[in-house]
Amino acid sequence: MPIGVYVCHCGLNIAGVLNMEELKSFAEKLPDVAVARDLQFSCSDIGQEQIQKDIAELKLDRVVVAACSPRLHEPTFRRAIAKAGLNPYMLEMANIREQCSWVHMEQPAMATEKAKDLIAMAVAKAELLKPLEPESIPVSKNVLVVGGGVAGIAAALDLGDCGLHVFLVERRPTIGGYMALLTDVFPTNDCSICVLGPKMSEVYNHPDITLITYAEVLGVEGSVGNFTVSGVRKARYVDEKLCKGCISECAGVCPVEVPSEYDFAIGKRKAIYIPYPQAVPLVACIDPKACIGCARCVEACPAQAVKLDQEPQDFKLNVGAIIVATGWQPFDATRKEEYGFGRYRDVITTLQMERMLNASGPTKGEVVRPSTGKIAERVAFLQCVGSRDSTVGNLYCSRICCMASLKNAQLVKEKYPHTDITIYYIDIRACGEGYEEFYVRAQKLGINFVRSRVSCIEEVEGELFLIFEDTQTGEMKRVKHDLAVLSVGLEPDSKANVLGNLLGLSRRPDGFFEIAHPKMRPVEAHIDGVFIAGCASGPKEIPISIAQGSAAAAKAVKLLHKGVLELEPTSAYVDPEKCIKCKLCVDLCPKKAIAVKSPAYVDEAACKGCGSCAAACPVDAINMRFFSDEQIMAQVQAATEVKREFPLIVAFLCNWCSYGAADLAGTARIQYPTNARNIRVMCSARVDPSFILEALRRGADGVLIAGCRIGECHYRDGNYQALQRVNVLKGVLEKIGLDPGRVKIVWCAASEGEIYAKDLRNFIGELKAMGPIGTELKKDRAEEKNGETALP
Amino acid sequence: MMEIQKDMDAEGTHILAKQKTKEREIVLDYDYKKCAGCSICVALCPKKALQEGPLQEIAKGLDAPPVLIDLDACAFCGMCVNFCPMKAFKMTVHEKRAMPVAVDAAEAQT
Repeated sequence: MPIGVYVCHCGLNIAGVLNMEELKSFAEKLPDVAVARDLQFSCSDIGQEQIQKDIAELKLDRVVVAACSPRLHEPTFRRAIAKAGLNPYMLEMANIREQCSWVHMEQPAMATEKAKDLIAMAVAKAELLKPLEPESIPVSKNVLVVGGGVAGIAAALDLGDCGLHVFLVERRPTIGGYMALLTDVFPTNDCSICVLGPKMSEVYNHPDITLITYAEVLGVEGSVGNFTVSGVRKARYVDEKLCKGCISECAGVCPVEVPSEYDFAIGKRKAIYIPYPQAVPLVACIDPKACIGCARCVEACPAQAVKLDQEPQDFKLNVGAIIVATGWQPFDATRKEEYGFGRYRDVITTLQMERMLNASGPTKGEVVRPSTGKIAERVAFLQCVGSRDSTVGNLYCSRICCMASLKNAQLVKEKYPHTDITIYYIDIRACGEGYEEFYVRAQKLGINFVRSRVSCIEEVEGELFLIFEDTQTGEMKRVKHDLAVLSVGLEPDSKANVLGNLLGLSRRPDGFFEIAHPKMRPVEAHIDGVFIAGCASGPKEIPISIAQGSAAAAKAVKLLHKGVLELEPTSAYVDPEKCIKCKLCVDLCPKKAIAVKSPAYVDEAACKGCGSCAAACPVDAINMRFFSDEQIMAQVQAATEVKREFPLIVAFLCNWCSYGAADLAGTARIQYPTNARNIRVMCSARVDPSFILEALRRGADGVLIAGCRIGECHYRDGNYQALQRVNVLKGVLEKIGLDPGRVKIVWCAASEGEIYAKDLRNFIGELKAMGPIGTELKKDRAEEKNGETALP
Repeated sequence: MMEIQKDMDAEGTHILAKQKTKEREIVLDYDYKKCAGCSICVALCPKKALQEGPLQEIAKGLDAPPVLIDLDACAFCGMCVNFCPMKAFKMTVHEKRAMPVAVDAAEAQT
């Protein structure tokens, strides 16, 4: 296997520090190296042509480029060798710029020695490279959108317009979500349903959207590109095709009246009902909990659409991607017992206020006291009910309630100018375009603001009294109001748990679904092919939910529009002969890509190649196609072949953060000692304890493992797994008699070059104090001997 | 909206509540001689259309129905008929076209 080694000068970036001649002649002598050259700029056209020429003339079958970071030019060289007919994965890079010449400018001789090791390690790995073929799998061009709120609607419409087929599954009998129930919306005070209604009917009439309402998803199988989703469409007891939506005929004769969940129980509906006049689809629905089966509606319906013998229908969908837009649910205000919601009739929630203000709501737009039915004259808004409150376990700000109360207060004030309105707040959070202006407008309208968290509400002879400390004056006060509106926070929809568990979505401590990266991947889930939009991932205003819906749609289009999915051939695979079916790997996998049929089986479409399973497997039955056990072991051995300095450190750096941090230290020319020999792995969890033991056995003085900062792992929790393994290993080292301090695990973000350098300097200091590996063993023996001789 | 006519008759110990709609005529026949006054029907009537009569006086010999029917409230759903342990209620339906029966609500939920 002839290998070509190319040592890059990078102008003077590398050649200015390292001795290129020495490196070239060192590389030439390495086993299997057919040719070693130094190139001025290997990434330039001339450099690439030289490599291609050698591949053709010398029949090279693998190439090592010692140059800059693989994070920079690996794709360039892969393309170059692929052009010359080699498999693109037959390339290995030695990072002698960012992690050598740029960080050891003051020690050219030692840096050259380190570069020799890095090149030897790259060559050792190159010998074990195998050609890999990116596998293409056909994917379904259908997308499932779960949740027909404003985010789901935005996603469905964008996807449909892009020509993908959408299945929009909604749990309720109508789409529209909470936005459809609101009156006017901030900060423009325009009518909510007037802007949402047309979108809802567009969904209904779109040729590429199949709307499945009053349905639930009950099963998800498969992975990105090919999910099989099963669910059930609940019985409406009304034929969707026959019903004309007139509702007055059937509901008019229905003898049963129950509180309407769409009016948050301040209005009523019949057992046969349409949620609200703008519902889509405009089809009646019978509430089986309320219906007494008198069958009057059956007789009354002129279209004969009521079918009391209708049964639930199962459905099965084949989709390539899933967008989770399951939304939120209001905080249950009865949990704040001190406010008396549910006991005092005049204590209501924001959503009930929205319905009262809504012209088509239960009070036809009048703001009345539920106890008397008279117009309210002294209205209080209480902010942060169920938000920013550790007593109910919700530490987060619900983001929209300040603005919602400001808006409702303005609407009440405009309708009834003499109403006395007070907003009790902790902080008014009005961040957004036009929001602060909206706050100022509310102040100008004469709405009172009291900075206080109300401690309790009392009802005395039908009057409400708010008891609170005004934190601006320090006074305790007791103030009478007619109507108290609790500004309830947003909580994740508890009914979305089923779907969350089916998909394996993780949740943040606040209970909302976690996104793949808190900044850079705002609509992607940890699971490939699954996207999260709207309030399912946290409280959001309407425009942001819409933006997220559209963003999720764009991501799904990007994924599926070609009809095939190219898979990085870096996945894990199982040797079925070795597998003992212990299932350790199944729970570890952050992508839920491993199933233990028998034996374990890796879904290569879902696997992202972190390698945690390979490190965990007790019988080494799992290996990686790229960064294989053998390759990493070969690197460890090459790094410890000749001990060129003390202390010698073998360092494992995760591809995403700590390798980036080490590169950044180079770019920023942060200088640190030359002791570390870096090995790139996809995740710190890839580091098998056997790699560490091998390094120590072969004479490395210490092993450093660097991962992403805790909580920032690109594979959810790989760094926790690495930490756990290192802790266990430290115990083992102690038993052997080695100092457990020889293995160190550190965290650095890709922006923390300085921290990486500092951690390394500290580690070198610690190892110097410990002495070369094995010192402690000699010491122990000496002590034992002394102990023996001390005995008479 | 569909018109619903109701009226009530008494024939001996039978109280006959009638509901007439365009395609159906339902007669709810309550024979109070059979009624034991257990009040199961009062408890389960979803429309609260049934009330207890003067039970103590009836126990002392008064000839009166133990259960009173509020005709306005009654929806003729037939639950009292199905649950009466004494079979004091009977319901007859005359209809022009066959109406499907309601599915069991509890079953439909699951």
